[in-house]
Amino acid sequence: MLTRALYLAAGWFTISLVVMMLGGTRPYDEPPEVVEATLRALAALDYPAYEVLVVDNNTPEEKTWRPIEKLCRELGPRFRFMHLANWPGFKSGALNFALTQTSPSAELVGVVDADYQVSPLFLREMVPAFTDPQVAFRPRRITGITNRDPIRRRCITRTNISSRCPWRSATSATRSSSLGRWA
Amino acid sequence: MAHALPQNINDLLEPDRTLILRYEGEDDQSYSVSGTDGARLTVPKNRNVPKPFLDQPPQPLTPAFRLLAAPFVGLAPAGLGALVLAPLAALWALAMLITRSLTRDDRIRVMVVWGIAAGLLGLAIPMSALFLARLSP
Repeated sequence: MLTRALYLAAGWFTISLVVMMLGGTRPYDEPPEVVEATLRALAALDYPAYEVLVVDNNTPEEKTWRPIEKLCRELGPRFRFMHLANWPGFKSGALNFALTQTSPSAELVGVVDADYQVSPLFLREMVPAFTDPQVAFRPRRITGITNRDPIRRRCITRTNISSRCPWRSATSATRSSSLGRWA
Repeated sequence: MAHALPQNINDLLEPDRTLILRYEGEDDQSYSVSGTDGARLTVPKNRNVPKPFLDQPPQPLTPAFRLLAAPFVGLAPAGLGALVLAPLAALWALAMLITRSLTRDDRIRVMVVWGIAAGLLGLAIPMSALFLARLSP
């Protein structure tokens, strides 16, 4: 209780980070090595109170998502893995389910796409803004993309530039109390 | 090999860190999913957070302890604040002792409130006297 009070006093809210992945070999899929780099970057975050939910959404081949599940176990108790099969609603459908599985103590919910590496100070820089009760959502400026494949990179970049909906921001955090459902 | 043992223990201790689910259906309130063993599960959509502990009933002496905090602050302006507020805290504790049937623990707390209030008053009286003496011509 005291630790939690100190975290809140310092502006360190508990945050649940949801990583969406769609493994496979299609141009818009994320190869396991890209997801692995993303998860290792999240494991290296310099922040005291966070969990990572890795959500594999409808990846057809088990051999594609099993290594990621194994990696989540290796990375420790902060990491949880979910494989959702036959799930409707594309990314937002899976995100809506992931929201039900976030830690009850998480005041913030963050979304990180599986092909974005965050810096170790990502949360330390982002979360304190939520000490202002008027702040409910904060997107993060993108400075680099993991995926080196020019075709895949173009797909990812276009998706984010054309996005009008903040939920689609590749790296963002949202106050969980103000969060409804992803459209 | 050295890495394998803790990993296996980790797997045993926290089997639920991996969820493998298949969508079966949903309504406004919940998802219907099936696990790897084919068992059907219902997962509520509402992320209402259950309270880990029930609300504590209000304690009779909580206001007295809050009042005791005020005399501490009241010591700063030459003890004059404590001179007024410490007896208030003691009186509140007395009122609780008279009007309520307190538990043994609460009766001990009454004694604690009186003791701290007396101590604060003991500090406040000389401080106030010195302050007033300093003010008088």
